Amino acid sequence: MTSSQTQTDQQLSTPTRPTLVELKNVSVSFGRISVLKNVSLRVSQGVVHGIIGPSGTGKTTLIKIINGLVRPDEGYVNVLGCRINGQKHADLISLRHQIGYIPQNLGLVKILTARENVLMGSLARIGSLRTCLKIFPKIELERSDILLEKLGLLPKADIRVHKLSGGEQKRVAIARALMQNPKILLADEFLSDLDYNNAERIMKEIIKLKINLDLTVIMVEHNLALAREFCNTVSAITPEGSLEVSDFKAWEPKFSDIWTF
Amino acid sequence: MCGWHLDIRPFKIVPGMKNLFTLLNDAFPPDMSLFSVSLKAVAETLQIAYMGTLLGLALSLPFGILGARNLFSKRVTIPVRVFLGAIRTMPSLLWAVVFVIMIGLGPFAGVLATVMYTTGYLGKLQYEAIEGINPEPLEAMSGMGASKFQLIRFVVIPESANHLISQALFMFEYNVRASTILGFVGAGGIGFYISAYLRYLEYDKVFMLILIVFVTVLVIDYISLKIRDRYLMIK
Ligand SMILES: Nc1ncnc2c1ncn2[C@@H]1O[C@H](COP(=O)(O)OP(=O)(O)OP(=O)(O)O)[C@@H](O)[C@H]1O
Ligand SMILES: [Mg+2]
Repeated sequence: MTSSQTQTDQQLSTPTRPTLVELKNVSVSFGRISVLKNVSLRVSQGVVHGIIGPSGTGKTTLIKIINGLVRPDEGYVNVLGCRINGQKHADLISLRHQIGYIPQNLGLVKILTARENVLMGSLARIGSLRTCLKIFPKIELERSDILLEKLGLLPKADIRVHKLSGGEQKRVAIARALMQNPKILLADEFLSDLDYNNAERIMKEIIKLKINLDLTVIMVEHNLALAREFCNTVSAITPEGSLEVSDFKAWEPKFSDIWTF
Repeated sequence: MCGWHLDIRPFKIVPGMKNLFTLLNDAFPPDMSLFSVSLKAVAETLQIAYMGTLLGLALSLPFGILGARNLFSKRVTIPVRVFLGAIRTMPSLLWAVVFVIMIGLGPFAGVLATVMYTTGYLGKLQYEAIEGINPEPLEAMSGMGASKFQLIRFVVIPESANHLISQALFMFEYNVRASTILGFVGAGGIGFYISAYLRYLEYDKVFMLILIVFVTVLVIDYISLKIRDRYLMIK
């Protein structure tokens, strides 16, 4: 870890930063199978927060609780000052507009082009008539061009997504989420199956954007090396509950038998 | 028991064959003087099928979308499905009878009959196709706060477009065949001539008409096959 990063870590952990996402003792079960048990989480503004844990513990489910796609059975969830608990659909939609989302499976519309998929990130700002005619305002088109360029997709912008490689599709999903102009970015294993150099390049780009946009990132990451390198704070999800990971060094050997490094 | 009820007696086919030969003898050669009349009549049949399919498609799509359980709750989908099921129970020929009674003889009754059956049938195919689309982009987009209308416009329609077009083509082929007999009840098209000449036992004229229908259906099926091959991407 570089010294400058240590310094920003200290700045980021100062208690003056507002909390954007808070979960307290959240539990979820699907039918009889309990997935998340007693999970608590606190993410302050401007940090990159990592979520790690073995496969099947409910990391994806946790991400979906934050944008309201999954409703917890128990516990307290507060996102951007909004209590998520059986609230009105319209409120949920306006909350989601502020949360960039990169699902684990990407969820791209594969028959549409890369550019069209990226433009979908701007739908919150687009009226019904424009939606219907599929006409996007010039400013959104320019924004999408900038993002496509930043992610190295401009030459492929007008190719249908199903013809793009896995890594390229991943970058389309990232661009679409950033197109939302979000306050929080939820990224579910968006670096997995990219090679290390590419993962690092994309992460650096996001951190740059993060500083420009004052973005808060919550990312699920299988690869602990990446989590250690890029996350300011980390939570581990275990079948018993969740724990804040404050000291990676002390923590690593303890779990190395469960998690791959 | 059942055979008795339906009067199933295979040996009846043998004398029946003799009748068929008499009929074929009368029908051959087909009456070529009817050629231009039958072309005009088959053109009307095609128009009925085309307009009926087009209007039926426009009408069925909203119902097809409202009937999809991955988009709407049961409170919406169940009434829509019941409605589509109800109008589907009557084949277009019976709808034609209804419309001939309502608005009188002519091709307009045939178009309306085709619209009704098309809506009922296509609507069902559509909600099934929509329920079959990949749920991942749907979930991703709703997670990003897309409205239902935006989901339909940018996920549902593009993802199911291939199926929707292919179903509409299939429906058009079906409607071409179905509307050849709409004329039997006075709802326009070539069926009117077929039924008239059948009544006067002029089998050579009937044969000519059926020949035209046969060739038309083959040509339509062939064109539709070509459109499918050329424009519809199979994923
Ligand atoms: N909608 C659902 N209905 C029923 N079971 C579900 C549902 N969603 C998730 N599960 C179950 O919950 C468990 C946790 O799933 P989840 O996808 O959250 O795990 P994960 O930690 O993200 O795993 P991975 O690291 O493999 O992505 C799994 O056993 C899964 O089968
Ligand atoms: Mg997952």
